[in-house]
Amino acid sequence: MNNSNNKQTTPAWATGILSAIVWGGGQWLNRQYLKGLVFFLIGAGSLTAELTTGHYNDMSAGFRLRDNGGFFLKGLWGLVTLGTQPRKMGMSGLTPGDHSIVLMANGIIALFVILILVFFYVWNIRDAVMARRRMNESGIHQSSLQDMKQLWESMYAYIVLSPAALLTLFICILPIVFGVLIAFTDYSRSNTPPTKLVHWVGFDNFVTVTQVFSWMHTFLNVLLWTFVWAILATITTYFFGFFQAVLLNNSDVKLKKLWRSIYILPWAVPAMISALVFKSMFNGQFGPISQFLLDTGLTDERIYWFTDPNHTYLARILALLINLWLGFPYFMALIGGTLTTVSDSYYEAARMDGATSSQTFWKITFPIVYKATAPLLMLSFVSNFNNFGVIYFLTEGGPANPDYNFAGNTDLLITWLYKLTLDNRLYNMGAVMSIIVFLIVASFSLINLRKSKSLEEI
Amino acid sequence: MKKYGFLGISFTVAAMLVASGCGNGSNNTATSDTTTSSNNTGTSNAESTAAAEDGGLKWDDAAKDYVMEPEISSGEQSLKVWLEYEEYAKALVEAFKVKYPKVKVEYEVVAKVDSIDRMALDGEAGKGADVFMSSYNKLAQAIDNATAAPLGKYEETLKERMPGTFIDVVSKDSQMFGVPISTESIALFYNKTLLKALTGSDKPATTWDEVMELAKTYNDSKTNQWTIRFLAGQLYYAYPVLSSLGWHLYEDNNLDEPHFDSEALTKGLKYYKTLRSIWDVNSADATWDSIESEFVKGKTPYVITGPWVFKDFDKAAADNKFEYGVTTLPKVASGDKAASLTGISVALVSGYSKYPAAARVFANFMASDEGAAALYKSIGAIPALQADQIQNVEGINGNEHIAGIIAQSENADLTPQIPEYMYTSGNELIVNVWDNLLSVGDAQQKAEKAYADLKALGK
Amino acid sequence: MKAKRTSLTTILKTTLIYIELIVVAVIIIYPLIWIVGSSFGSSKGLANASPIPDHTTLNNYIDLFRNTNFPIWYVNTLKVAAANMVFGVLLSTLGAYAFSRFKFKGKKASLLTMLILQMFPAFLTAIAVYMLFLNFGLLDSLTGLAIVGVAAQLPYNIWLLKGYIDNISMSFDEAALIDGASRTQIFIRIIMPLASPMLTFLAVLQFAAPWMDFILPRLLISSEEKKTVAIGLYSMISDQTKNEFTLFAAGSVIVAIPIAILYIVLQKYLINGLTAGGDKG
Repeated sequence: MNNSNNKQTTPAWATGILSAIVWGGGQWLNRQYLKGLVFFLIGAGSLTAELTTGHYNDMSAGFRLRDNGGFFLKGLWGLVTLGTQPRKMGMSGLTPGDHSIVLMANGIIALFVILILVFFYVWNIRDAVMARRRMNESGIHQSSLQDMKQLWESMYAYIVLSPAALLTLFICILPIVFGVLIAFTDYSRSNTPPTKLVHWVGFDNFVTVTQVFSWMHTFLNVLLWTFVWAILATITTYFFGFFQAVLLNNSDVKLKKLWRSIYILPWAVPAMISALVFKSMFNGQFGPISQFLLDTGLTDERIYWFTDPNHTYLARILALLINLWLGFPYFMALIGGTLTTVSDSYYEAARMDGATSSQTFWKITFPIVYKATAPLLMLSFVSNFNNFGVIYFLTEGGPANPDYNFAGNTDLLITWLYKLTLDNRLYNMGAVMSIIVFLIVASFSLINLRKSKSLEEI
Repeated sequence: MKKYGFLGISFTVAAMLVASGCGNGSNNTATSDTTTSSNNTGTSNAESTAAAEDGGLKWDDAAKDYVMEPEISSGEQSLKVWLEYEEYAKALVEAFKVKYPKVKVEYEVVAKVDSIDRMALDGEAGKGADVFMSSYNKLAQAIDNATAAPLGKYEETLKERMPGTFIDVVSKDSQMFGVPISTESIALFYNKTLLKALTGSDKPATTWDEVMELAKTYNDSKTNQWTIRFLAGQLYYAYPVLSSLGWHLYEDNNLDEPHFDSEALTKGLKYYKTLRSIWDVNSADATWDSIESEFVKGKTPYVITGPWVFKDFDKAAADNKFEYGVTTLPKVASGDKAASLTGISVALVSGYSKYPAAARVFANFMASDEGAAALYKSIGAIPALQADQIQNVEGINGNEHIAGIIAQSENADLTPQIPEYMYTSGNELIVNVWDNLLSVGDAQQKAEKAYADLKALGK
Repeated sequence: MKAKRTSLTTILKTTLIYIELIVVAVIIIYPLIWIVGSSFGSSKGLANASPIPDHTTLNNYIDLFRNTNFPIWYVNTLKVAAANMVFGVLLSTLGAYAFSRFKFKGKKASLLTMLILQMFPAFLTAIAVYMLFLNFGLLDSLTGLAIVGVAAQLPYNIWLLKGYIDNISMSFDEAALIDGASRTQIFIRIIMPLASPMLTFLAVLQFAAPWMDFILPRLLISSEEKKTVAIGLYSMISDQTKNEFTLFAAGSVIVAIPIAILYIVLQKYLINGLTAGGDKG
């Protein structure tokens, strides 16, 4: 109040403008030197990065983004244009030029960094204005440290999360953005950089994909099986793990530690080698299991586990069982732990009421364990939906199905798309189909999540 | 599964764009898996021809070599090469040192199935090799993504030393883009000792009829005793039968027209289907390791495979006391000789190389007598040279097994760089016929359509 | 009479349980014996692999140490695994703590985003990862591998741990808060110890992952000195002309043994760990 008449008062907007012109300038004016310095360094650092990665010393021909731009400006230019000059092959190697796909990737990286910088920039301005306003109102000068401490208190969750967020942003989200953008280009076999340029083509690829109607049948059937697979694979591993855990929890079972140690072994072996061994064991013609059944007279003919075109469900069931072998130890360990925590008092009360053991299980044990582990079921469903490894190494999609286009009976969407689009270098088509698949599975999952109400508990 | 976490999985798969050679053995037969299109002609090649004439590289007429960059010839910088086998790499670099003592060569062991995809990124990043190896069937891809550069003046030398088939498959628009290093054509491998015991003669069959004759008495499906074994579900292995009955891949050199609907193919496929009577195995069960391992035990008279098995077979023949031979593939009695599809591994000079002259010198050296000797000595592979030139390679003369592969290579069909969708649709065709999923006619129609679809999608 | 019947049914029940346990154990062990068996086999291919090979030999193991850089790969993997473990656990615990204990704008959205993004069939994105690493100078470096390892599993780990921390009673936090502890102190003194069994569990998973993950590392690592076990082993079976399945099996056995031992030794933490989470307040 006293200070309001003081001529020293600087209007808040002025600090904002100063910060907008020079990073940290407003803070300087606010005499919050440390904060100002931090902001200044961020601003100066990014400017230095741009200048040192670009070619700003030679602008004799005027400023051209392509030739002079640095990490940020050239990045954005590349993302927008995807290059203007293809390289040419000659005896002394490739001539200089643009690699569209590299430009695109670098452009996305630059864009992500710029978004973060914009965030800091806006913050830098806001911070200057807010701090000034506070000071003008209260008339008390706050040092940088006091401000930062306040920030730490009010933004604690964000600050703690930021390292994880940054990693996720760059290593998980950025590549997906790249994968999505590929769908809007003509990047494919006939248009391979660096001697050709890739172009933005809008939604053309989506139109092209719908034109291969004959594949729709394959797509729908593979999609259906993928859902069946993902749901069954999740349920079987979960419930079998549950079952084993309950058995091991039985007080009559001795040597619990030994049993657990055995059951946990599938974890320790690389899944790929297990899948390859199973593939060999269940080879219909040469595998030992078919031979054993034949030799002992249990079957009259060999069982063609993975290759019988007339009994395709056999391969599917077997794939699910092998996935069960690989996956149940996880849930066993998880649920085994949860089980021991179910308070004995519940069971005693149940016993007093004369409940049978199955009643006790379904009314007490199951609900408690289920509640503790339900979110993991969703995660497991998602991982099974895109479970590339098991199918690819185990069956390669077989047995062959003559009604499908390039897909077998156990092919999941991901293995089908992989074989189809990468083996044939149809990158843009692969991206289009990835987006379609993503939209389907994501909406399914969201609906399911909403139904199960687990969303509200987040 | 769970232990990897979820992004782990999607990343894993993500990575496969570059790791597109990934997979287990039976999906990736060295020579038959995927190839690439060559429908990318036009402006770029006209320009590159011009560039080839005016590359700025100095040619030393006396030495018949390019003049290496001074950094390399002085040993200041080293040349980087990617080879598939450690033993070969060591032997080759050692041989190179003898001729060019000052030059430093660094090698890395990189699988042939990976090299082009890795080169595309590493080259752009400035970290790639100067010379690297790949299989011929991926060459079109390497030309497309500019990881393979033309060889320039070495073409003349190489043309003198190598069979025309090999030169043609590595050439595009009359420039050579790769140095054929070793030939990997499939051939008929036969167990002499066993044949002698069974038929009284150790002469191999020359027609399928003879194989069938033996099968009548020798086959026993209960105990998996088979007269002949091969990868039945792949176009690459079915091709000798189909070509014997008159269907040749891209006979008119037109990649738009696979002739999947031709009558010759119908005839060939119908005959191919009858072979199921002597090798009654579903295509996916006939994995290559089940094929080779049975031969190794000495219980299978015939297998169709390639020279990469020599090392194993030689060892097994010594252990299990049998002799084996290698000869041309059996033909259909009423048909022509059985032609195979070309299989060669090639050395490529990277378009990204900073030392284009030195890289070409090294690539050319790999096909020289010394380079060929290193190849043969270290891993027993067959140099892709003309028959009379091969005899100059130390130790190779008189090797009957190698003679068999060479004899079959001479029957190899001259094919342009086969686009990958040929194998995608062709393998599907063969599986549909072999596993009796579709009638021959329906399978042909489906393949024709599949080929057209895949081709259109890539445009 | 009644008591007798009960004991009879109990015996019957116990017997059935034991039968089930034994059957499952056999099913678990049989394929594993195959792997171990083929690692002692003399032929190279998978088809001849069998629990008891015809000619038992140690050659595969000798080869592994003499003719490959297995020891180097092993040390590299150890380094990556250790870094993966420390930073993976630290970052995911911090993340899970924030998501579990604080209300903030965008919480629901970011949790959902993490979940949904897992569903993208991202097999076309490797180039982006490669260029990212190129830009930040992390190609062909073990640091880069560890960063990918940590990041790739963060979303899953955070979800897993968040569920667990949700189940730790808030009353502990509140009590500490009354005692004047800061949130960071609560995290270190309350959350970490109470969740420590689960952290052990995560640590083991994080430690194990680099031994098995070969696809992305194969893209990011090029020099022999930086290879991990998984990359090296995979190259042994990458192609028909280059198939050393028995060597691969031997390598896998050497990889599996320490991980298996670790699992077994830490078993009580795993079990108890998941236990405390069920202890709802």
